[in-house]
Amino acid sequence: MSVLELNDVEVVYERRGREPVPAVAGATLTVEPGQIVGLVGESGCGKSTLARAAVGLMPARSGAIVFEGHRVTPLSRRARPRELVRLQMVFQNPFSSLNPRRTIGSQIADGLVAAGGGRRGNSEPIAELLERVGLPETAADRYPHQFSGGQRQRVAIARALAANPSVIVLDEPLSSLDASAQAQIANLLTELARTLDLGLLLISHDLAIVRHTADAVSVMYLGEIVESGPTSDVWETPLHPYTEALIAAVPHADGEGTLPLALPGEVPDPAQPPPGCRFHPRCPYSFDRCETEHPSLVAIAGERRAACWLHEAGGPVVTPSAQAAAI
Amino acid sequence: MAALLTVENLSVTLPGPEGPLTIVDGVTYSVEPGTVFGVAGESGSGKTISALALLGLLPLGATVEGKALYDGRNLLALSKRELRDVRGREIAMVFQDPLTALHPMMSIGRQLSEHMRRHLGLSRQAARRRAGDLLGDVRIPDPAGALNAFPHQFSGGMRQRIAIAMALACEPKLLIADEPTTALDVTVQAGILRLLDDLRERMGLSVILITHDLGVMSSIAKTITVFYAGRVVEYGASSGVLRRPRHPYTRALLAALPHPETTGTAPLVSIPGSPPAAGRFPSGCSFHPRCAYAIESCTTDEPPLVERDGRRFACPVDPFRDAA
Amino acid sequence: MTSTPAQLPVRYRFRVRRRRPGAARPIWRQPLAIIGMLIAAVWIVVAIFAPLIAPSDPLAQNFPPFLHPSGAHLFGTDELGRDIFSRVVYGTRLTLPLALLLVSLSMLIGGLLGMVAGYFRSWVDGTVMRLTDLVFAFPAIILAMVVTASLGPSIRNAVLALVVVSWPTYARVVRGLVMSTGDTEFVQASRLLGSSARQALFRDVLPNVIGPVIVLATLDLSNAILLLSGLSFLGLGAQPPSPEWGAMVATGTDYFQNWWMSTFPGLAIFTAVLAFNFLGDSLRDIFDPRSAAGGPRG
Repeated sequence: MSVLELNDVEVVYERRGREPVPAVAGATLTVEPGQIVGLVGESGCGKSTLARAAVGLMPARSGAIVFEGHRVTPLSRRARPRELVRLQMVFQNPFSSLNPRRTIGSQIADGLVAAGGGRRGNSEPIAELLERVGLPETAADRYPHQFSGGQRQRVAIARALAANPSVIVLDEPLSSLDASAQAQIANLLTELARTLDLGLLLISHDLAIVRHTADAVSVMYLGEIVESGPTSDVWETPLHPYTEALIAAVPHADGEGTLPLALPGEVPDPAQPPPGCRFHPRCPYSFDRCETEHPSLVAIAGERRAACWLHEAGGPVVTPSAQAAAI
Repeated sequence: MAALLTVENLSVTLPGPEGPLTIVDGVTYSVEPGTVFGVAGESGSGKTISALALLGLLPLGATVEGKALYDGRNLLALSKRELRDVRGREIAMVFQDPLTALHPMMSIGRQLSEHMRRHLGLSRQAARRRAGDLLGDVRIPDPAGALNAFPHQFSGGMRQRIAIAMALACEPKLLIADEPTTALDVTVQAGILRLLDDLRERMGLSVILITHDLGVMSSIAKTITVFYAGRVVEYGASSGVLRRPRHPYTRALLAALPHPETTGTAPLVSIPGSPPAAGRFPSGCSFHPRCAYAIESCTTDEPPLVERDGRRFACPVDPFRDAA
Repeated sequence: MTSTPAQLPVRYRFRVRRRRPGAARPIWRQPLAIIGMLIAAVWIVVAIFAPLIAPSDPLAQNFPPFLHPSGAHLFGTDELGRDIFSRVVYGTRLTLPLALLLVSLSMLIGGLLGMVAGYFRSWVDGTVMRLTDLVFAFPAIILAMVVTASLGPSIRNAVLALVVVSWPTYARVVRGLVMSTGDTEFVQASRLLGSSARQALFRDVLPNVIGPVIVLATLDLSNAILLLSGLSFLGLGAQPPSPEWGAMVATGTDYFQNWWMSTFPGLAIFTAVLAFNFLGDSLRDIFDPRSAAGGPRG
């Protein structure tokens, strides 16, 4: 049974004095225990908004967000319901996600309290958590500004772990870090997921790291999930033309001198998406049906899903280019 | 072919709290005309400062030594007025964040025209016409409409194209691009890389491309120089450097990239430790504390850049001499 | 290839001791702070030990009037034959505690209203903001004059009036800080870990608000001294025979040729205001969240 389920979630982003933006227009994905799910997409696709809605930091306009069988309700002034405490989040910016005026130890202790412990006599569990994320126990009495970005991100992970979570949503946790720190944190996350049977929803724009770390991946474009499936399968035979373009755009350090392929056009305004398939104006394979009818995310062979008229539900796995040639 | 730019023994110090800090320490390279020259390195390696030194854009209190020969003149010895002529006309620069390169309150057309009228002395009409042409060159859709628009109305990728157009306005021979695609999405980055390659081919533009992303380097750079702690550690044709690196740092950088073969099973490799901060460069070979092949002499003797098998690198140990 | 680096001793090319980037220089290295602290300390000591320092009773009209400053009367005597030096010394017991009281009350009232406005937002915020707008619409001294005059000139009413005039600044600052801090990710993280909005307010938001407020208060202290003296100068604050500096300056203007009557109280105001100003400036550097130090514990 999935530990986190998002079903046709719609999130609308309010803007003061301007029209609200429908940042997420019906997204569906699941996270199993111990599974690392990657959520990739480019700027403006709504992945960060979806992440925030998944934990309750933003209200969803419609759709269901279910964690361990409980509905995820958006935060009110009251304390978050106890049953949701095991759904935690790690943010992108390690500099603003830690309180500069509190010690590392006291912030991690927040997590222990959330898991049901008291506030006193916490030094041992805190030391254990610090060790688990690769920091010395002396760090507990220090302040965030005394640590580097990579170390702060470890603290943020320790704080989330203190609450004994079953799912952690990570919103671009590696983007603000340098290459070495990225590799180290990515390794830490993988290890935690395996040893603690922890489900991770990893949002990132870095395709290479997601490919390396995630078991399953969902690709987002303009507020919708256009493809999902096991990572290696999606990489080897992408079903959706956008996924194909995304993969082709990543440059490789192989010394071959090949230019990555560019996607023509620009991402449209999410407030005014194109009719039919949202990707059709930029899609090299679009045909008449794509301009009028909106494709939904359907299952195609096993766990693979794609939202594209080139494929039929339950049909064979064929790349878009091959499929388009056949039409 | 005569080099367009030859940098010899460039050293830069910046004022620090307890005295001058060496950021760039004796760097030598040359840029061929009509090619993309890649400068690779992590943050703090001195790659950006070395480029800023060429255009006299260093902060107050910086000292510069060495030579940068461009068109027979030493850029580092030019007066402020002479440098101003070189900047923009001969050598232009594009930065990581296009938002700060463009004036938020002026229309694109006006920014481009003013720039050209000041440097090329064109009439208002001629400048505007040329501005439209430039926007077309960088593949901005609807150049005429774009001239009247403002920077905030464009996406990051478009703004970077506009910044490139502004850099090219006075037809420079050399474009220095400092992490031009780091802040952009991958598909947008692909577009900018293709644009730069296209400009190189069509206009014979030379580009010094500074980036930490070796994938980006691989796609358009012909020659690569790898910086570490203010020095050049490897320098050669990009295909060679990336396929058969000779310096341990280059090899470690490449090994740290996620590889398709190691997906899911092995952890990502990272270089132990972190790059040294300015003023704390280790003695001898700066990489020795993090190097798996260091020997005693690496801690004391500064390794010179020697040429072997068509490649220049600074590692007397040369552990990969026979590697595939 | 995952080999470990060779274990060789690391020597450094240049031995440079680096200060953490962005850290403020420690307070004892800033000359203005030292001067400010010294002068402020002097005045505080004078206030505490006034009876031991002043040679005579500030209200006693024992001496010949209009005496020039001399060995016996350091600041001379005034029109009623009182020793000005003693009056200036005792004046600290009026000005300093009252300025402190004024700042504390404004900070408390303004801070509370600002916190409530920033926390609840909605109509509460709107109301508080319109009130601050109302007060800000008037020049401070004019409004204070109006309030004091209507309540009756006395030092107590002057303080009241000045509290009315000063609380909005604190309200605005605290409201802004509460709102911006409330939107930060560390507060969101705290909420995700199960703290209610109120708990997050006290545990996470307020510690980040106190620093800038204290800086504001210290700077405001110098302003308070000035305003109190100003009202007394206008006859609306301290009433005779209180040895309040502003009132003394006012009296001195009637006897301009006896320059010492205005000058010394004026200098007292000037140095006290300057001292707290310097102090506030350096405190701000210490508390600047942008510096790596970011706080007294940093």
